[in-house]
Amino acid sequence: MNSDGIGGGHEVSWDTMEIKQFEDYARKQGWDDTELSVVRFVGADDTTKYIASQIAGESPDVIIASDAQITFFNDHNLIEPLDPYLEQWSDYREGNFNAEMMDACRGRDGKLLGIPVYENSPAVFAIRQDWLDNLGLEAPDTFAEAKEIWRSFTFDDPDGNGKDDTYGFGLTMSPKGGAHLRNLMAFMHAARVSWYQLDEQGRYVPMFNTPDAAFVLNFMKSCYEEGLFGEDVMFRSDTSATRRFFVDADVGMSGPNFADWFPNLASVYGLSGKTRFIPFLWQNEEARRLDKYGTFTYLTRMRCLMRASANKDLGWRYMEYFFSREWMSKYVSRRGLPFIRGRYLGQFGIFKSESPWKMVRNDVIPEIPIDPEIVAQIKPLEKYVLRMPMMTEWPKVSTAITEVFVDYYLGRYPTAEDALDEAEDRFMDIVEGAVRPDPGFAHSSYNKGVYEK
Amino acid sequence: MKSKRKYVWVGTVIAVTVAVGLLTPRVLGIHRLRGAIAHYETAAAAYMLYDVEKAKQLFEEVATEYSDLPIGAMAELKHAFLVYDEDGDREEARELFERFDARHPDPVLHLPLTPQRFEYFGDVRLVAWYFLGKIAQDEGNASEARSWFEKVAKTGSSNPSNFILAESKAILMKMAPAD
Repeated sequence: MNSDGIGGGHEVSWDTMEIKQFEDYARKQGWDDTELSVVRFVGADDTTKYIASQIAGESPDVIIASDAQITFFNDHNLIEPLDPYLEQWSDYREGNFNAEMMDACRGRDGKLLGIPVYENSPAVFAIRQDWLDNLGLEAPDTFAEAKEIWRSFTFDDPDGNGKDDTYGFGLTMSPKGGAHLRNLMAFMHAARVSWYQLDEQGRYVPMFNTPDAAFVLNFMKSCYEEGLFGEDVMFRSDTSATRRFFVDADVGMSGPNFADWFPNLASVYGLSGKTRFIPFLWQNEEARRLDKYGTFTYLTRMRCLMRASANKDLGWRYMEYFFSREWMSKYVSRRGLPFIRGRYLGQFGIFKSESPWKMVRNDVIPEIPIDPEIVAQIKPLEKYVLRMPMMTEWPKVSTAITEVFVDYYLGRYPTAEDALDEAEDRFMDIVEGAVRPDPGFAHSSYNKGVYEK
Repeated sequence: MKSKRKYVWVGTVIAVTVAVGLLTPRVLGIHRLRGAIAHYETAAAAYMLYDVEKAKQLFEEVATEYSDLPIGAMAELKHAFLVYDEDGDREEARELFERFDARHPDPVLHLPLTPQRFEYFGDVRLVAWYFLGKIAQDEGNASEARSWFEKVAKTGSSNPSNFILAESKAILMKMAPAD
């Protein structure tokens, strides 16, 4: 996109508009060197190519990347820890940043690797209320109740069109990038199964080989065998669970969803008023009685300063500029930052900037708050959030685990326990320096039957 | 032999003349369309970089210069939208949307031409009717608002990703039933 005469007459790309804004600001400040290099990694960008560019001495000053990419770079000693810079910044010293979120951005050595913009709301399930109403059903509270409803959604024509074209739950089986695991995560965490943790020596410990995980796998397998996810779900790689719920609108329940973006998407695809959240879907009545539950959140893409930056001073000034109260406030305004403004204009104001659940800056208040009714539903989930430390190998690990789980659904492992053993072995093979769980630690749920929070 | 060669020459000249005659307007048309898209995108960039006045001016220019193209119609609507959304000038916005409506009795289809960005595609008249409904709603005129939203719902396709149609239907669902 060319924007002659705008933003200083640069060739402006959709990805770098914010940076050009910063460079204009830097010029106005009269700084000598205002050329900043920022690389935004998208999806599964080839990070090894980036290592080559580092060796060639062409490091950007700042990167924007996922947590797996950031830990990968940190493993190669490419990230400049931010602690010394932050200690000099009055905004940080005055306590304007959310300490819990900042702590989640620390590497295995405890150093702060980057700063995120905000944290999503705790993950929830969503269901088609209009389908429930058509069938005279109530929203489910437990896995078993959900399965009953998925049966009705699959076989009882919930949309009343006379066609057999609906399914219970939107699930993808694609192992690509661990897509299936993201879907499954909502159920695993609900059963309070975590994937892994770090031990005191900074080693990764798999945490998912438990009876609760076996329960979830058996539940998913039985639903698959009944056809509650759709016949083609194993084989379609051209769609996502989210797409099935919003665009195809052929599944009655979906998860994980986040309150930050769900209302926007529901509005854009005509599902406003037709859906409702299910904040808690208990593993069973016993879990509810024991108050045993779990969910998760995501941090948005972090910005990191690079160790090999030719101008770290300018890179840090960009960080101060971007995470200033003024710029963060633009982020959460109705029309958002430049990229979001593009969407806002493109969709005539119907698509609005997301309303973040929790900003990294405590002193920034979103212009459009999340609907108070939604907040009231989701707030009680905060105490159940399971946090996983950042891990470089997670994309590979999650793909490997997915392959085993899908093979289990297809009957290639005799029991869920066998599949979990195999998945744990693959985890250990991929994660260098991982340790098998101490029987008294990760397997506590095996021994006691109940995970103790 | 000579006359055969002559026929070949004549045939070639005729073929080239016809090809040039047919292709020139197309080439010029594509060139003009590219110019329109670049102009339109510059207007969008101005908005993204917080220069609303410049964006309005540029969208107005595109609307005037390329009024025969769907992108010109889109630019006209973007200008009217900014008057409504940024300036909060309902009166001026209503006039602009009404003028648009009067000038476009037949469907105007905007198809994907611009870079990868969220953009409205489909019959752009729906946009004007939607905002006429919004303005009526803002002013407390529920029955007029309903008639505009109903017009959108009736005319729009069943395309689930037409957000103007989806939003109009959602508003109709929330509105009190008509008397």
